[in-house]
This record gives sequence, structure tokens and C-alpha cells, in this order.
Amino acid sequence: MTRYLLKRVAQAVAVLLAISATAFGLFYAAPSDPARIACGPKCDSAQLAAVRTSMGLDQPIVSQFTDYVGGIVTGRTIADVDGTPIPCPAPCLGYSYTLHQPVLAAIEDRLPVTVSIAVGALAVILVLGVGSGLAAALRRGRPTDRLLSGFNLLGASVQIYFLGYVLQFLLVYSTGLFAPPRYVPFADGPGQWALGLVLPWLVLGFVNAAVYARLTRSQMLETMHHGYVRTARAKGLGTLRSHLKYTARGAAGPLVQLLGLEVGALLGGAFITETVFGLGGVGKLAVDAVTGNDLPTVVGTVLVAAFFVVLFVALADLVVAWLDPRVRLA
Amino acid sequence: MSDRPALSVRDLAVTFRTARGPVSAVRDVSFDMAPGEVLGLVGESGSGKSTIGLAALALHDPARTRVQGAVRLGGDGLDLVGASESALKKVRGARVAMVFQDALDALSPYHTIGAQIAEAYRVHHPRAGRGEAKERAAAMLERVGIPAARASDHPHHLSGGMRQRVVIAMALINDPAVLIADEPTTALDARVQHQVLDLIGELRSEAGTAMLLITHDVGVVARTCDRMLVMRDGEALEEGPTERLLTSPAHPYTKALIGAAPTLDTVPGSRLPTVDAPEPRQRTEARLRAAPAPGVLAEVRDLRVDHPGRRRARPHPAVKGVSLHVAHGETLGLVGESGSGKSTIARALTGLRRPTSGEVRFDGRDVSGAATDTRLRRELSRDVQLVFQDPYASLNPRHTVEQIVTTPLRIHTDLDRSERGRRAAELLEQVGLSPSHLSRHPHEFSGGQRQRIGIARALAVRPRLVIADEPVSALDVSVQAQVLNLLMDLREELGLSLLFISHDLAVVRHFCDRIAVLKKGELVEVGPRDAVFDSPAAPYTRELLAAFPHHLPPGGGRPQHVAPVG
Repeated sequence: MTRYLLKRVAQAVAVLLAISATAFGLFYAAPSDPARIACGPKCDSAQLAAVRTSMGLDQPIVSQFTDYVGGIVTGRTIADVDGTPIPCPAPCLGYSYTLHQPVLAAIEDRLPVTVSIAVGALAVILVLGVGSGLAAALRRGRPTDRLLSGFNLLGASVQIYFLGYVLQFLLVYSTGLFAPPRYVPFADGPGQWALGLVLPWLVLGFVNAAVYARLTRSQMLETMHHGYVRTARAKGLGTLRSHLKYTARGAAGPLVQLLGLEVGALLGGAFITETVFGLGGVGKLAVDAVTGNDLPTVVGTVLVAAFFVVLFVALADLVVAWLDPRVRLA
Repeated sequence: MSDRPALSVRDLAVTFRTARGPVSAVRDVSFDMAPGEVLGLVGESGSGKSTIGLAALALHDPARTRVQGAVRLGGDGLDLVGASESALKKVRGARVAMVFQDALDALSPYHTIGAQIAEAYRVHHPRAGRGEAKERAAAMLERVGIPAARASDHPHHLSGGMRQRVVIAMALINDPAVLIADEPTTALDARVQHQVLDLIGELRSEAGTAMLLITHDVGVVARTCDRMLVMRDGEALEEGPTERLLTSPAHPYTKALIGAAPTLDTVPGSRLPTVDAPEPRQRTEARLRAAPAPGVLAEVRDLRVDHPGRRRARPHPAVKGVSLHVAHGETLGLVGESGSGKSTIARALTGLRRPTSGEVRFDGRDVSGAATDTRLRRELSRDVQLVFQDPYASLNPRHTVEQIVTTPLRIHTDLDRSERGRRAAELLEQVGLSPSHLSRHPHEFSGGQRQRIGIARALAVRPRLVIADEPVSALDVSVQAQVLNLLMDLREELGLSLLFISHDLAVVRHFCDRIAVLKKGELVEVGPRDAVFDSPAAPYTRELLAAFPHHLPPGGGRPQHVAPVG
């Protein structure tokens, strides 16, 4: 087990290194000059050279990269445009000259929004997706099944920006049933927090639910035919109990794996949802950084998103192994 | 035995609703089972025997199945047909229990065997605590011969025989009045089958449980059942005491079913009766191939094959130094339990598996490297062809029969398309199919017909050696008889040399000239058929023979008990 965990950690580090190297390459592949962006339009060439030196851009790319990676592990001191040193403790993801703050701090500012959106959307996915998939499988071929399948197809075929604006228009601005979506920190009151985010949750969850509904339904139907479910009924267990205890257990593996990916992806930011509802999460930060040529922030957000995906995929694998004793962690 | 039957089935009819309309699976079947009695329900696949078993527990999906008639339990005479789900929940597992065929599938892979047995107890004893249920489960495990310490194991840690014991423990933990056993030993080796049948018999007679034993194997019925009921196409054909039905069956189908499976007393090489030809015409002339030409065709010398271990585990030896040969025109039978290395030897001989050490020779030429040498393997496959066990898995469902049969010709000969088609038609006729079948796909054929297609494919290039790996084990007995008859005819017509792999001693004795017995990768005994069967030299061979179910043991007594192994 320990060896397995060590191996997974090594794997994760390798993946993150590869991704950061790729993202770092953007600095050089991109046609823009980071120093010029940081320095501003009114820079003369002497100032530009000074900025370049203070940003470390005159160093060879390899040493820039090792500095960057070293900063993640040990922290480092970064020079601002004018050469003033800025301490950047580990894990240092660099300094955004656009936002004038360390990248990690910028991400940390927005992470609560992203986490809040992810948690609620995940709950909606579980209830709408997995729940309706379960119900559809247990009532296969009957009206419930068809109704749920149609409902989920609707979710899959509609776009977030469309559904998001339609719901906001209908529920917020026309009827005033809901307050305009906004982010209130959880600490300021869970009720306010939930009320402000319920629309984004519903939209993001509903649009993603169809995949889970389909997968749950097909997994359940496949597992249902296993002899051990029949054995459970032959023992005297009721149909529903047999399915919940045995069929669902057999069906869970692929769902858990997909959920692991989903959680990782959600924590990396949900740009469209954040934009539609005017919420400043990590997704918006990342896209703003891309459009604004804020390369340190681009690399930082890409790394953080990758970190979450790698982490939750590994967690999902552990859960799968715990669910199915035949799975060998190796 | 009391007067009231433990289970009484009256005019049972089961109809499945399918997309193509209703399909009748069982029609007007009636029988009674006295307490403590064992009734054998015998028939081939599709005869409706398992359907009856499920109906006795009302386990059919009501949305897709219509069950009519009555299935009454002794005691209160509750009719399970039409009983409420809540009444049925109290009956299932408590008064009527079931042992399913495939224990690997019937047990949940996610829960420990102890938990699964304890659950069966707790469902019907809601007030019993976890501790009590656990103790009961442990005691029950001991009773079926599994140490209670293994209760915390998952099914995949157990052998096939042990898994089947767990299923039996689960079924018997509540002392049911009626036990339905659906092919409880079919997936097991003969020796383990023997042990499991004895175990069921013992436990059953202790508790006075009535048992419905569903099986296709007349041999199992002969050694276990008081009475038997023969089913065909959903109808009961004949019912009576086992001994009478086995010795003087009234219905021709019963006769064919009993005769179709060769026994250790059948005259070797004789044509077997089938359902279509209950009294086959025996060959008039003496067998032409009585004396195979001298000379070795294929051989392995000191063959050793290791399965690579997982990760850093040590490699696991599958074959440990076996020397064998097949002479020109002879049929060598390879016998052994599962895991004895039979199929691995076959794979080494066909160049599909690289020997770890030792030599594989074909017609005097060293072909040991064929597994890694594409050209050599191709040359070898010109002369050595395989007939596989599973006629469903071994034919490409997307190809037509013509494509299947002509593929070897396309690879190995320069016949053009029309010539290949002609040869395919000829082959189909040879195996008893019609050339008009060439354009069809495998799913349009029955299991026996598919196996004929597999044989035609193997014969297409006129191989010098045919390796048949359990070619009839997946088939119903009467179909098995047809395919064996066909193979015997072809062998005679074409002078084939064969390596015939089987776990079925009677089939091997019937079909083969020489027998090699394998045990855990080692050769235990090899010799002419009669020598091996009449005076086996190795104790293991004697053990295998003793465990093999005979039809009606002499004197009608039960065969002696064989001590559990392993």
C-alpha cells in the first residue's frame, strides 16, 4: 500500500512537471514579450532591459524553469518590475505583473468561489445524474425511465450560457423569485452562501448530469444480470434492497472514476458558469490571464487545475479499490 | 416420509414476453416432491428445466414473464404463483433455497463469504445480532468443510469447489424444506464434483430436505436422485424412479439422452446414439485405422512452460517437463483437471506459446521458436490446426461462414476465390452442413452446428495434425454425440492425427487410441487406452476414475465416498 502511494505520488509529480514545462514553454512560444507587457507601453529600451533583467528573462530558459520549479518547492524572492524584491514563499507559482500579486495569492483569493460552485454542482450531479440513473434503471422500460431519459437529454443538449441566461432572466429579473447570483463566503452564513449560488449549481449540475444518468443506468442494467443479485433475492432480500446493496456496488466503479475526473476539473474552474453568473472564480482568472497575456498566472492556473485532476483521479482509484477487493493496487 | 409433498407443482406454464411475441418456456409440468426426496430434472439446454427452478422460488421478473399453474409448498400449502412479494420474501432462502450453477457469478465479489452467509441468516432472523449471525455462518462453513477462519475471505480467494460449498452453505443455513440445485456441479472437475454431490447428499439427508436437482448430466442423476423427470422443449416427457428410467426408458428421447453420453462401459469408437438417430447403424467393416502408421508426427520433449508471474512474483510453472508424442494417424487423448497444463501443451504445439525450455518437434523439425518467429508459425499452422472449446467465442460473429472457412485457404494456398468457395462448400458437406449455409453468419447456427463450422475451418487446409481442445465440453450431450460421431467419421475418412484434450474420461476413452494423464503440469501416466483404463498404473489415474460418475453403479448402490482433497 505504501509503495503504491509512493508510486502514485511519483506519477503525479511527473505529470505536473510535464504540464508545467509545457505551460512554461508558452513564455517563449508566445509572440508577446513578457517584459514589455509587464513594463507597459511607455517603456523605453533601457527600462525594458532593466525589467528583463529583474524578471530573470535574460537567463537561459532551462535555468528559468529550474528556478520556477525550485520556487514551488522552497519558495524564492522575485523582483518586481522596478527591481524591488517580493518574497514568494513555497509553494511559489510566480508573480503576476498584471495583477501585482503572487499568482498563488491570486488563485487563493478566487478558490473559495470555485470550490463553492464545485461542491454544489457536484451535489446536483449526484442527485440529478446518479439518482435519476438509478431510478431509470430500476424502472427500465417504464414511463419513469423514458421521462428521466428525456429530461436528461434536454440537459445534455442545452448550453450553459443559454440556460444560465434564460434562468436568470425568468427567475431573477422577470419574477424576482431569486436574488441575483452572487458569492457570499460560507463563513458569513451558509444560507446566504447557498442562496447566492443555487442558480449556478443547478445549471452546471443539470448540464453535466446526463452523462452520469446514462452511465449509472447502463452500469446498473449490466450489473443487474449478475448471478449475485439473483442470489440476494433468493436469500429473501427485497428487490430494492438487493439492487442497492449488490447492483449499485457493482455499478459504482466507473462512476467513481468519472466523478474523480469531474471534481478535479470543476476545481480547476468553471469559466462559462462563472462568466454567465458574474462570479470571479479560478476559471475566470485563468481565461482573463490568457486574454491579458498574463503568462505567470496562466502557468499557475494550469498547474493548479492539473494538480486537482491528478489528486482526485488518484483518490477515485483508491475508492474503487476499496469498493472492489479484486482490484489490486499496483 | 409424510404424505404431504414438500413441494407440489401443478400444470406449471411459464411464458416469456419477448420483442417477437410470447415464447413458451414451460408447458403443463406437474410433479410432487416428498420430504427428503431427491428429484432429478433432466434435459438439454432450452428444455425449460432452469425455468422451473426459478419458478419454484418465484424469481422470474413479473414484467417479462407469465407464470401460470400452481407451485405449492408443504406445511401451509402456500401457492408461490401469485403470492405477494412480502410473502415470497419470507419463503425465499428460509423454506425454499437455491444453489446456483456458477458459484463465481452467484457470489458477490465485493463481500466476504462470511458476510454473505451471515446475511442469509439475518434476513430471516431479524432479531439475531451480527455476532450470532457470524457464529452461525462460521459453523455452517465448517459443516461444508471450509475452515471458519476463511470467513473473511472474498470469493476470488477460493477454489471453484470451495466457492460451490459456500453457495451450498448459504442455501442450507436456514434449514429449508426444499432445496433447488441448478447444475450445482457442472463447472467443477469430476473429483470435486463428486465431493460436492456427496456433501449435498449428506446435509440434505441430515435435515430431511427435499431436493430438486436440475442437470443435463445423466451420470449425476444416476448417483444422486431417487426419481427423475425428463424434460424436452418445455414439456415433461417421462417421470419415474431413476433406476427404472435408466434401465428401461419408455420414451425414445430418454433413451437417446441416456445413450448419447459415452460411459466407461461404452464400446470405444462405436457410433453414439443421438436424439435424431437413437439406434445408430454401426460400421460394418472393421475400423481401418486400427494400426496407425509407425513414426512420430509431433512431439514435445521435456517441455517446460512458465506463466510469467505478476509484477515481481515468481513465474508460475504451467507445464513442468513433459515429454509426449503423437504418432502418424493416431489419436492421443490428453486428460487432466483444470490447471493441469493440457491447453498450454496444445498452445506450445501450435506455436502460440513459447516453451520456457525443452523442445517442440513437428515431423522431425524443431519448431520450438514458432511463437516468436512469424514465418515458422505460419508454416506450422499449414500442418497443425485447432478446434476450440467454445463454438460461440471462437467464430468471428461479423464474418460469414464462407469467410470463416476460407480464411486459412487464403493464407496458406494460392487457390483463387471461386476455388476457395468450392472447397468451402465441400467442407461444409463433409461436416454435415449444407453449402447453402455459406453466406450465413455464426449467430444463425446452433452450438453443435457452430462446432461443425469450427471443424470445417480446421480441416480446410488438410492439416496433418488437428488439436481439439475440449471440442465437445460446451455442447449438450446429444449434440456432443453428433460431433463425436462426426469426428470419428472424418478421422477415418481423412486418416487424421489428433491430439484430443478433454476432462471427460468417458469421452476420451471412447475417442482416443492412447491416453496421457496430466496432473499439475506433470505427466502422470501415458499408455494405450485399454491399459490406462483397465489397469491404471498411477494412483492419481485411479483416483480420477473412481470419481468419475458411472451410470447406475453395479448393484444400484451409491458409489463409495471419496475423501475430500485439497
